[in-house]
Amino acid sequence: MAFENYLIHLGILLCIYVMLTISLNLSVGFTGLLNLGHIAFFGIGAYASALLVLHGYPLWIGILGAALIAGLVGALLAVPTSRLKGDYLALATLGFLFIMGTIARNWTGLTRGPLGLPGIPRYTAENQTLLIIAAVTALAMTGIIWIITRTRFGKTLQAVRDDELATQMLGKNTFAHKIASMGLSALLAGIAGSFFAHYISFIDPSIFSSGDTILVFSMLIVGGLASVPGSLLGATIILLIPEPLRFIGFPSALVGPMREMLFALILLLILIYRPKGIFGKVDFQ
Amino acid sequence: MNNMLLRVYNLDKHFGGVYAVHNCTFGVREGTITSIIGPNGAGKTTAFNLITGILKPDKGTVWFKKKNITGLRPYEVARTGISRTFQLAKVFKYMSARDNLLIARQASDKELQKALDQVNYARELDTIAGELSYGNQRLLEIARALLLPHELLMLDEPTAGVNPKVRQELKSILKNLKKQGKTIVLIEHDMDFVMSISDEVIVLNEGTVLTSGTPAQVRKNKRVLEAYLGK
Repeated sequence: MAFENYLIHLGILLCIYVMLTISLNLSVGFTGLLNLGHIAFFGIGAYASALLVLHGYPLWIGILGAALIAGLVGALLAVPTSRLKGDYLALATLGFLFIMGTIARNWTGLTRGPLGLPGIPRYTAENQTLLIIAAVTALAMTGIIWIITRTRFGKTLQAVRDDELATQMLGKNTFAHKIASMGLSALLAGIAGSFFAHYISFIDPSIFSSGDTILVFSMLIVGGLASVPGSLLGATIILLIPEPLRFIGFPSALVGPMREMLFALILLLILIYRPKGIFGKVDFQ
Repeated sequence: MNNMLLRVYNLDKHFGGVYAVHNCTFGVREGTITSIIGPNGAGKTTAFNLITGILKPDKGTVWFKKKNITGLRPYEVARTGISRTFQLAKVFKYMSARDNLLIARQASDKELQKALDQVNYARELDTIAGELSYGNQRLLEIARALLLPHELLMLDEPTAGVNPKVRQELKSILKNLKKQGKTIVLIEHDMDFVMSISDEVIVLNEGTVLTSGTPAQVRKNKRVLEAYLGK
């Protein structure tokens, strides 16, 4: 029974990470925006949903609020950063993540600061049901991204990634496309955040962690940029491969560092043997 | 005399203390091929970038179809009916030739193939653009520019980096386009190419129009020979 619960827990986490990876793929892989602040939208979604529901609003308002607030913040972030590219955009978005973490720690009147928000109501008491909802949501998001990348809008995003100036000279407003991409990517991350908050039932400012940024980026790189199946596979590999370490019998003090070493090994192997990731179509620049 | 499709008046653009384009005035007549020539650093590509909104002029105006388009953004300029290519071919390298073309305009495979046939592009529509030879990338870029609804086609050094066979093909492609009534303005260093296809040649030197006229007139101009050909 305990092992079954563990598997269900892993399944739910996997679904949340798939949501994060596929939504990050839209801005990074398909639009070429090196966005290191994606986890901030996850955190914003988690806080927005938790606060709304804790203040008595129904759950569906919480989810909707998480999506809209995270999406709006993502779109707004794209406005001042739209002229930035590569490393500069990466630094600006990483800075945004740190700022969000600082706000969550210091706006104690709203977030309770480091004390966090306990007692967040769950979507459902049954973890099995939650797993089904998570799987359906993750697959729906994957489907949405897959469809978007095949539309004229999605193709234009990919053109922006490959050559923004050439795209402009074909009559495309690349500024509007970048805002739409960041907004949609953040909106989906916000939904993942809502899911996380209502699953764990507790969030605190550590949700705005740069460590999770690296984890989700690793999933994206391993699976491959601009590949929808790659996002599914990357999240699965990075999340599940280190899990057997728990059962080998190493002292618990060693399991953490070994996990990190395993991540590093996977990334090194990928970068040496498949620099574009397993299903990747685009070089990581 | 054909109508002027594009007019450029007293354009100025400086970078630091150096004028890339200075008091530059010229026009392009409808249905003609106009070539802009000049030594390296003469301001040819800067003039293209000023016309297409990639750079904002410090002074001067750009008129297209009798409408002032100075200061418009590149995508707005493109929507007025100006299509251009770049000095180094800019294809969407991770996308197929088909998708490259579809960014310009929604079209059936038959229409896309027709656009590619027009430039003698012999590869498949599904080929990834980044895997094409440079010559084929250049042809794909021109086909894409042609597919975008336009009245003026601006080509920045279309023969740069392509082999003599593709160069000959480009010559006949441009002549065919002219026969179809297209207006073309191009920057080019290959004098044989320029002199054989142009109706009018504009010579730039140090950002200013040195002279303009038919290829025969320009060829005989002493100032051109001194400034450009070093004679």
